[in-house]
Amino acid sequence: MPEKETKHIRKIDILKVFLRSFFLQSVWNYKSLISIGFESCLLPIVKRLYPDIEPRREFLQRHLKFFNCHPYLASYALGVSIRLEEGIAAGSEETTARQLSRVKDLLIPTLGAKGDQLFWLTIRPFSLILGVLGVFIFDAIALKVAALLATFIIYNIPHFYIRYNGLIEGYKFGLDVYKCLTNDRFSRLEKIYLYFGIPALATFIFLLAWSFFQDEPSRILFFSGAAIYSWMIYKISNNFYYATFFTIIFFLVVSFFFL
Amino acid sequence: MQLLWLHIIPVGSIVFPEGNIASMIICAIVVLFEELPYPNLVFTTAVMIGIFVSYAGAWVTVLDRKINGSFLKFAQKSAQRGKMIQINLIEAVSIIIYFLIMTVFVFVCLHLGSIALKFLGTYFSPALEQKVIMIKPVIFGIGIMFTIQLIFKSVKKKIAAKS
Repeated sequence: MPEKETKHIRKIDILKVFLRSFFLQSVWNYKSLISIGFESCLLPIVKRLYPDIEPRREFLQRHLKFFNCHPYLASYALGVSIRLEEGIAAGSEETTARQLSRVKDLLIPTLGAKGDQLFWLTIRPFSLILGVLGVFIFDAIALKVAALLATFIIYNIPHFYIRYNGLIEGYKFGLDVYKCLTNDRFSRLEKIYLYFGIPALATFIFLLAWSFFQDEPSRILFFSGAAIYSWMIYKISNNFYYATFFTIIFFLVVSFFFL
Repeated sequence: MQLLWLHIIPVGSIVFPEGNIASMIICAIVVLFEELPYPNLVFTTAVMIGIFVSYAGAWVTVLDRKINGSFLKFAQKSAQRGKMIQINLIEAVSIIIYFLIMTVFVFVCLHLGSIALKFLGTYFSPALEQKVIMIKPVIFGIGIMFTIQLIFKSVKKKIAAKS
């Protein structure tokens, strides 16, 4: 099959996709999860690659199939899709729509697992703990605001970096994107947050306990008791609502009788 | 307040408590009733309302996602016709619907919360206020427990990945 006239993606298209990627989860539904958002991100690419209606139709239909992954790391999948779409539009024999669909399916668990581990389990909690610690330590309102601002920055630097860089690397590496998704690359970032976050959490707990002790020593009992009691309920029920609601009720009853 | 909801990981199609809305409503209620001389009673009531709000919010999100399911059919039809502008429109409408649903939800919760607090406020007394002075340590205790559990999970996964 002869190769068609190649239409290259421009930097401005990538930038448009990047900006649209912030709305990736906007049409989240139970049938195709984030596929509509994913397709919507790629619309600037369709305009560039497919001026004719028939290939446009095919493009729009193939990206509406089920897709889900971590919203920030989805940029890797977007980058790979752009690269492969470029090949399909050029009529390359090496790239087919089926191949693109298969790659996207393979990226779902990888990007989901890596994103959850990196952002939801590491960066988000530790950024918030650093912010909470700052708010707790400082008395001046300006410093409290600065601590919250720092939290925002600490969280969003890796977020923006991965969102943009994922798109670029996905586009650059295409089918070899797995080279960018090695454990080592993300574990360095995780380590930084762990090394700062764990001491911050320990300091916060210590300062919190100390402030309760200074106010009224019995508050330490309520603080640690609530932690243990809610942990027990959570272990038994695995339900957030039960753990919080029943712990509060239990300690309200205790305080009514003993305070 | 965010420490309470920090451990919730929005994986796949999980129905998770709407912690952000609940935190906002708790703060709003505490600020709205700042003039009452019972800060701990107001906070206790606000937290209890917040837990219900997070539960209700989870189902409001489910409702929004079901509405989005009907948008998928429109999107499929637009794709068959090759109409890109309709896909853009679907996305915009979905965002507006989510915004409206959540605005109404927050307004209703805040209104009901205020009514509940005004009603309960008639029973508030200094003696009762003294009984709930431990609410802050209890809330912090629960929040710290969830956070430690999350950190533990993170470290455990890290060690497992290494080995």
